[in-house]
Amino acid sequence: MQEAVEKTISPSGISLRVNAWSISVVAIALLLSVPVLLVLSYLFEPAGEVWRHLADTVLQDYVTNSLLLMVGVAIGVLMLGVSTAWLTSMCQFPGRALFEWALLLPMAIPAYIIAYTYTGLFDFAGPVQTLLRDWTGWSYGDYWFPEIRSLEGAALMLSLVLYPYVYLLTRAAFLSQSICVLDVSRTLGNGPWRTFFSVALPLARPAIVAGLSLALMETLADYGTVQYFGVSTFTTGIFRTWFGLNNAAAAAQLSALLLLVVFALIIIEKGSRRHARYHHTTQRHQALTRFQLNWKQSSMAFLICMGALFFGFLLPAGQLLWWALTTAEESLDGRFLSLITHSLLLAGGASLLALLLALFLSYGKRLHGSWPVQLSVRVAGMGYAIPGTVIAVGVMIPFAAFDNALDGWVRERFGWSTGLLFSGTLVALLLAYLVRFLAVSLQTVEAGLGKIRPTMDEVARSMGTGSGKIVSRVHISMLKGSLMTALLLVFVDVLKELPATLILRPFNYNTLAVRAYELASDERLADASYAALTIVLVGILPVVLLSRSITRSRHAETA
Amino acid sequence: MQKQLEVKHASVSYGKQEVVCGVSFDLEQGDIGCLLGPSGCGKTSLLRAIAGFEPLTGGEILLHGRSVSRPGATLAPEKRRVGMVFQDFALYPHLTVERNVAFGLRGQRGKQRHGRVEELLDLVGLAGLQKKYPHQLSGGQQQRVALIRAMAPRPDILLLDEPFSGLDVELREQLAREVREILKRESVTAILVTHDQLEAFALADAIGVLGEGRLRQWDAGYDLYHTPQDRFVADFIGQGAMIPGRVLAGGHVETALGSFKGLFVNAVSQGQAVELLLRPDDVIHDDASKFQLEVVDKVFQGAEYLYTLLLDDGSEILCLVQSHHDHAIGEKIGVRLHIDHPVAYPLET
Repeated sequence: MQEAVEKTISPSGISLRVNAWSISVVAIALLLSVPVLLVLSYLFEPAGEVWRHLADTVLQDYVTNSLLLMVGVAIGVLMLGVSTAWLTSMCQFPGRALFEWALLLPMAIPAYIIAYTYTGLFDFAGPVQTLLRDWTGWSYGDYWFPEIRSLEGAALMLSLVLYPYVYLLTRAAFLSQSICVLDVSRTLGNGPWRTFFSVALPLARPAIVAGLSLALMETLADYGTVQYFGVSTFTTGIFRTWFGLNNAAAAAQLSALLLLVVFALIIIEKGSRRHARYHHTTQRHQALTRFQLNWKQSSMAFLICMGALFFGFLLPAGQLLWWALTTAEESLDGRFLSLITHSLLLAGGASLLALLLALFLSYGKRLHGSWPVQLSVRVAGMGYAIPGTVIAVGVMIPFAAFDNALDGWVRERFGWSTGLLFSGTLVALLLAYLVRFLAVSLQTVEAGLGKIRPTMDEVARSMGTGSGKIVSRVHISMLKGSLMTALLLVFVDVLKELPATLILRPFNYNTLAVRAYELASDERLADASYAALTIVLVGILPVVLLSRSITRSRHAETA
Repeated sequence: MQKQLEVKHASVSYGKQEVVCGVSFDLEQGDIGCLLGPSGCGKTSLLRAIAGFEPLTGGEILLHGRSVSRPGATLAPEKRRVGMVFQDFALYPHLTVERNVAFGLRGQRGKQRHGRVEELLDLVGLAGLQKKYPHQLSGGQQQRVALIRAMAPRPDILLLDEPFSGLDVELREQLAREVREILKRESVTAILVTHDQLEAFALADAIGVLGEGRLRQWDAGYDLYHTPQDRFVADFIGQGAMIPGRVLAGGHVETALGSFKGLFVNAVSQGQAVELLLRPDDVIHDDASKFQLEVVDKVFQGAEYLYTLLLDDGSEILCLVQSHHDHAIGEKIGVRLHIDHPVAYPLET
């Protein structure tokens, strides 16, 4: 009886296909979670000689520096992000509409690139100190100047490019607060400042915490900045243990420790978002009446926003441009062209693969949302918070083991060597990118798919449209925007990614990010500018996309 | 006696567009007034001007004898001693019920503050919910918390901005009556803004109908319904129809359904063409009547049918009849008029 009913509901054959689909979804999730699970498994590995040595000597440095860096970045991004969010969303002053989207621009600059430009600008030989000496007649040792290549410097660099996370989420929270809750506070006798601290800020707290956690995850994942500034953190420690001490197990154990901190951040972030639901205040949004600032307040507001924009984007981008136009010796020759080709191939390939997987997974979830499928899709999207260094370690270990085992077996059997099949190839690198960035396209595709409500499918079906036709006539046209966004976001993320590429790339296979890193490490900052500038320019694309959606939501608001 | 609220020729503009034009009215201590009108009529802007959120571009607003708004001089909302209840209640989701209500009681001693909160919670029957958070309350409970939060500091005037529109229809009327009782018991002066006339009738002592930024009439609900001062108010309040008539000697109006001693909102001369307002309850079903009219439409409303009847001259009137008088469309039924307030308007030419 039951079988008969089921048959009438689903056309024959569908149920079998859906099962194969579910199994594939689970398999993909398992494959993608291997690196992370492998790294975590080292938590239970007995501590080796090298590990004990690490624990006795440098581990404490790694922990202290990473924590201090997080504290510094937290202070920086909160101050920059919350103040700019409040000013642009709730106050009216000249330039506000421009800042609203321009404040996102620092996102386009990877932290390691802003670090190169600030070093070029502010170190001993840089224009700022040179100018200072010319003016005052001081020479080396006569004066104190803040050392940019330090822990504080690294915190500043990361804050300048990571504050947009806090800005974006906090701004959205301020805008979604019903203006009425602020008005009520005014009628109950509280002035504007008191209203800000006793109502607006507490209400936005979940959003602020979520933005802060994202910024801190990026801080923990950073390798390029801290390496260049010579600050020993977890990520540089993993590198040193792996390549300096040549000890994969100890590197994996360090990675596992780092992972635990990241997981704690993920839990905080998810918790805040859940909490934010209760902080939702209204169904109806009154048109915002922004506080009209007088000229004194306006100039303060302008200075704060301009400061964030100038030091986070205009100054570093301008320095890169200056280098590229004047002092760079590296010319735009065939070698640079091959950098671009490599980067495009990698970023394009990874974003396309990520998109296909994301589509496969989210349709699997939509069509067959049993718990193993749901859980698998979740697991597959977990990698985003995980530092590239950790993922690289997790990918490298099993591939190397497999290659060695296969090579040994073939050599014994047939007397010739297979060499390295996977490790040190593009396959390993692409897998690492997928583990880290699949979440980005998955989120975008799922959000797009979520807008196609089940009733839309049902309406189409009731009008006699088959499943295939529904996908081609309804889904594809409704999803087009999301698919393009997903491609673009992963493309840019891959282009900027440094540590995983550095570890996993085939020998001598250079990308823009790697080349910029190598040149900067050789103190050829000006020469790094072409590669760096290219990354920044491409990085502006998703920022444009984001700012367009901001402007659009503003129109919806006033309509 | 001093007026609690005086609004004198108040105007509010957004840019070049004037949304409130020269509105004047006042309220005595303990009165409940209402600003009623269709959406976009300027009623919310006027309320926000009284609260101090919108500056005036003309006229003046006085609270308790003190000038609080003039063009170029707007006292900040927090210094006005007004309480406001919003459509979405605007409860603070991060605070408990107790702390929401106590929000405006800063500066009072702990015991006194606590006492006031308890007193108000008792007043609206929410004792025991002190520690709950807003999302744990029902819509009606949230509404009451928003009300007593605004009342807690004993404001000079309470402003209610569409306070019932977020609630279920069944809940609205019951709450409106409850709120009136609470306000009267505490002798609170209040202004309600709404587009729902039944809400206005249930709550307010005096109602001002606003249309296109102008105050059309300031009156009790009964008078708005039966003697509307212009066509706008006649159309907006209640149902009804206009039938043509002509002014006779002695102020009578002659129509196809008989002649009546007219009430005129404008000066009229003998022989002038006018229109007479007929409410559905002015038209009485009477089979013996000499006026037999054709049914052209009917709407079942439970206890009554609302019939649309056709006059010989082509105009239509509405007639409310107990629903056991079930007549088919096309049938003729007898009616006679019973008008206490035959309001006539000069025909616009």
